[in-house]
Amino acid sequence: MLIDMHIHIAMISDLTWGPDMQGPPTPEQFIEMYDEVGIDKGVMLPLVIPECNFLTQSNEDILMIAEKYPDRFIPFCNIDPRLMRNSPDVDLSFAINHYKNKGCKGIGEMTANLWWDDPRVTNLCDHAEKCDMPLLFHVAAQEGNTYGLIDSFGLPRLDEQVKAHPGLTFLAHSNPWWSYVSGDVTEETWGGYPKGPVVEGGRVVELMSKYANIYGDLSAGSGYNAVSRDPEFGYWFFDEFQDQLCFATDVCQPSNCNNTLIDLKNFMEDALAEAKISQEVFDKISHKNAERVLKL
Amino acid sequence: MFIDIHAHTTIYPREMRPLADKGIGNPEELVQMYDEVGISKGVILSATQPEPRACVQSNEDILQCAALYPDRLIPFCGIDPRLSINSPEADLAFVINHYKDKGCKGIGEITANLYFDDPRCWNLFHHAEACRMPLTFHVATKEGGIYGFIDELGLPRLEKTLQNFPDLVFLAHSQPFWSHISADVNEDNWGGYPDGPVAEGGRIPELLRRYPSLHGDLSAGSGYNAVSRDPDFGYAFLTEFQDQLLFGTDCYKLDQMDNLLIYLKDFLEDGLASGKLSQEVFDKVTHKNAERVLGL
Repeated sequence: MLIDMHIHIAMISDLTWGPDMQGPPTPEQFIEMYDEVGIDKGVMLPLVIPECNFLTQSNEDILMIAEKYPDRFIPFCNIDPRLMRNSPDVDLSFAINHYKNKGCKGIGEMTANLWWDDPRVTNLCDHAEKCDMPLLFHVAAQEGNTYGLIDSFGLPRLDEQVKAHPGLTFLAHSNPWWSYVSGDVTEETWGGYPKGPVVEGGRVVELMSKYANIYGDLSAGSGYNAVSRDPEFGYWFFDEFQDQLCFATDVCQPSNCNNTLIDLKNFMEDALAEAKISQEVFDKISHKNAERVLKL
Repeated sequence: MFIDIHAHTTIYPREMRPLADKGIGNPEELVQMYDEVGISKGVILSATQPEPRACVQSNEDILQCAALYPDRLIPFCGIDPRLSINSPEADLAFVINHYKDKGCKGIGEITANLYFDDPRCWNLFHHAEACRMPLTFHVATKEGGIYGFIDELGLPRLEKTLQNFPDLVFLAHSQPFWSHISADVNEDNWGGYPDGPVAEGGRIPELLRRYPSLHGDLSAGSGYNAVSRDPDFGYAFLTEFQDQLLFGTDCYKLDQMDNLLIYLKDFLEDGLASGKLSQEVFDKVTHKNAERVLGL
């Protein structure tokens, strides 16, 4: 069984990601893709935050999909830290609990281009923790010309937020996160897809060891690269953090059927077939961790 | 004939959305309200930015509402200046033209809590101007704890913006704009509804005289207060700026039927009946300016 922790989907929009690009797949396209490769369910991350996309979705747009296909798609809500007056004192629990009661299992993908230690972001973490809703996020290496919660090299601000919120499940995603799987990441490479052997002492390993509430969302080229750039390291990493890793694709357009839909899945299945990882580890990463974290 | 330049609605039922009060109603309610008092058409503004509410609206929601009442409801699209990659270089024309092709006649209500002269806002104005789409905006008196483009007392940043985008139709709205109708507005009351006689030399008449691209959206308590607080001034103001003022309500729920929906309408009709407004001025403000500005 496979649960995909990270997808983008659209039912009522045909706006694409940009000129000469595709838009998010429809639910029907997703079901066809999933059936083709054997993925059971997908977590829908609403494109509510302006940064990252031209399309602005509402949480309600996503809930309509969950209502139509309850057995295939799991809704997250997205809660912009600037919601309701752009203030760090806003009662975001009001909105979070509303969507939780409507069936949303988490918050994200958080792509607001605000600093990790911005009081509005701290406020979001406070309320997400209080509402017991996992937070899935994208990290940015700079302010402007990108999207995601901004950190400095070495991820010190994320470290502080995780420390301050031990009851919040952080689902970490994106290149500036996964590049830190290796100890030799640099100012030049941390926003990209560094290749080659993983050097010991990476911050991802350090942070996941230090905090049981940080989880790795293995989606996209960044997650796949982190575990496959040095396969032997990848298998060790799967084993070591078997309770903190979640299978995911970040499929956001139909053409992803040739890459992110299958790359990680194939890597994990090959590892299982070659006995590089155990069935238990495979099951946890492919779906059991998701079931636990999302309380399915 | 009345065209309401400023209304809100949503396709989603109230129970789906997090609401602090009765919240925004469905198009059926809006049209029912219009039928009750004799408003022919309304511009439905999209709330795609996070700052004003507990939930973000999609432009597709607005387009679905408009499709239900194509002869009554005129859609605008919301375009957040931070869309895509939070950059002053973002190609916002791509998304503006997408929604223009879908039938949107303008952009707004823009409520992002960014400085008026933030490069990302100027990028939005640049693309709106190039796409020939009018833009409805809300003004904020400060950063944080509020929504709308941020300016200072005296609206210097708005003026700088008007100078730089002479071909963009600005539809100005909100208390911090309309309070400047009187020269005696001050730091303490420019975010509110100052009443009493209008002192000559206000920034609104000055800006309207200087910049023909600036238009007054007379909706909400703020617009109504500006023209009614000193009725003789109000009728003279409507007459002097007869080509730049537009009737509006800012209505969105049934219990506004006996207040916001009719206040300005009654004031205009009284002005006509008492001979304080000419038929020509009345027609321009109630619908002809809207028809011209929106290209109906």
